[in-house]
Amino acid sequence: MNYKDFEKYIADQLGNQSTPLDVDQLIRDIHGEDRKNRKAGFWWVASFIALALISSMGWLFLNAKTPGTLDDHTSKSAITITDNHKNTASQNAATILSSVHSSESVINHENATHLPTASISTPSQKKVRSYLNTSHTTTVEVLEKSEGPTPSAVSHPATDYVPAQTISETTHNLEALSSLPLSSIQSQQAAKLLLGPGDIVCPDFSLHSGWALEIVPEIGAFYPDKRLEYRAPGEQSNVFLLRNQKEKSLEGLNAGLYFHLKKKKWPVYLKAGISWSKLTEKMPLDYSYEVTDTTRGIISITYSQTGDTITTIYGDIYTQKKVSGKKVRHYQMTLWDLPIGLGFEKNMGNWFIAGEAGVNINLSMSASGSILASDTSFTEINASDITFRKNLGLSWFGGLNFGRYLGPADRIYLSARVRYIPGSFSRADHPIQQFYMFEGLHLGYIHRF
Amino acid sequence: MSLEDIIKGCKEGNRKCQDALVQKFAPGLLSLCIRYTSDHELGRDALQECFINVFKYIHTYRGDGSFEGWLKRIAVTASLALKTKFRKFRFDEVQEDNTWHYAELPDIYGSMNIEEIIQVMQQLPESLFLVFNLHVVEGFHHNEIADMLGITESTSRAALSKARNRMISLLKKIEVPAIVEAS
Repeated sequence: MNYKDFEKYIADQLGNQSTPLDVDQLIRDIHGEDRKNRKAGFWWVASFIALALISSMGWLFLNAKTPGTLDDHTSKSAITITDNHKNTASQNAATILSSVHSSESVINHENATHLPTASISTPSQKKVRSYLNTSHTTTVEVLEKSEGPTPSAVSHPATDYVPAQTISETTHNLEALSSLPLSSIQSQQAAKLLLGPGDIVCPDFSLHSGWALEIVPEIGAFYPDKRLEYRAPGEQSNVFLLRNQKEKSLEGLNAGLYFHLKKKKWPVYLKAGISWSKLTEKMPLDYSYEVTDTTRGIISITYSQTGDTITTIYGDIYTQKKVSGKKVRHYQMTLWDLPIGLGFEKNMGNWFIAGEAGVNINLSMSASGSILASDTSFTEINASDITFRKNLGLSWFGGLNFGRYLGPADRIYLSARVRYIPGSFSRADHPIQQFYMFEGLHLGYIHRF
Repeated sequence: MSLEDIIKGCKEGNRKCQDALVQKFAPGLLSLCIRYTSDHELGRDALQECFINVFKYIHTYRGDGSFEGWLKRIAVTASLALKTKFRKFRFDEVQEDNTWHYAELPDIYGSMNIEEIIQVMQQLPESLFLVFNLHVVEGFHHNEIADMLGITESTSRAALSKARNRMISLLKKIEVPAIVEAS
């Protein structure tokens, strides 16, 4: 067999070789449609779950505002009615003025008779923060209209309000009032007057409802702690060595809008929201290389011995030029994430400290700018670039917040936070794998609805 | 739909024609891309890049040459660009060597399968492998190879001679009982 025939055989074999592939997926990729369909589906589901979580927070918050929500401390409230035996049987009306916070609920009973003068006390065993003490003061007044010269009024300051359930609950206690030294009829009438169903509208105090929703805008800066690894162990390219040596991470920026959902009095809260981060890499490059230019020209002139013939030979003239210089290029990476986590906070007077940890679901990652392509040049990162991934998957965060109360519903805090991203920013087939851990300081503001 | 219709449609940006072009040539070009990138995933990416460039520059194809050759050239360029982007490649200096001569080989070499052929070819140094592939398999001329690899034509010729000599010596090293018997 002639070697030339063997080459022809190779050409036929390899030239007709075909490799099966998913052509439909390739077509979608070429036209920029849904490159990773299955993965995209997963992230749609993750996004949906996060949005559902935020929506359910809102729903819980709205439900928490409905009358009749029982705060945990209210079960400790008690109501007592004492008969002073001084009222007359000809009372025509009673007005109970109840004031809690700045709200008032007024109950008028036109046909009430034989009303005993009642005093309602709601001893609260709850500890409240100093600035809330005054706003929690409850005053219950029972005004009597009687045939006597002056209606008597009894007012009693309490340290907390009386929620509806507390009053309903005390109805059972009032049924036992017959044992008190008061006529059972009067007691039952008093109970009906004061606590009859439908007569009392429990005021809405969102600050004290069972669930609290907080909105938390936050800004911050972080240091991207970068680590480069070469995919093939033991092998390192010039680009890798240069990047590892000279590429520098600049401070990253972060902004986020989060929601905290917590049950009143619980130190634990659920955190969810959306976060934006941007980081920049700077690469200075000192380069030097030689360029060979070829021009056509006279390379030799010879004269004949007699001197009457001149021979000119044209050919390639090679000139070498050394090119050196310095370039500085940057590239940026932008991340959109859905953080979901749990926090634990502890109040210390007007200050508070909180620790939180959770998971960041990356929605998208995009890169732009110029990245080192060889030891002398950079290449533009564009939409079809294959250096970086489009999605980072899951990452983890943990942080410590220290803050101060600005008012009953407003707080400000400074947070030291670490974000660990286990996945590489580079695509799996890229020889240089790029990993990050973000260490940042964030300033946030918490407003409770 | 004939190839001429497909090309015409592609020049007009017709999506159906573009899809037809991909379906017609993708499996063959994927083998080519894998051969030049030495990696299936990279080859797949190079193929995608190749078709993006084909649709971008198809208006420059005047029809005076083989369309398949034009496609192959774009695919090779995309594969090499991708490969050199990940790992810097320098074409080894090849000394002028035109001393090779057509050797007589046992006929048994004519029944080697693709895997065996590729296995032998991959033992060539990268520079020689590229020139050998481009010339012998893809059928490019030396001026085209020089253009694609950024080398001179004479370097391309020298590399091909060296690759052929190396191929012969590699083939002779294959210890196939059948070959020994045949020779």
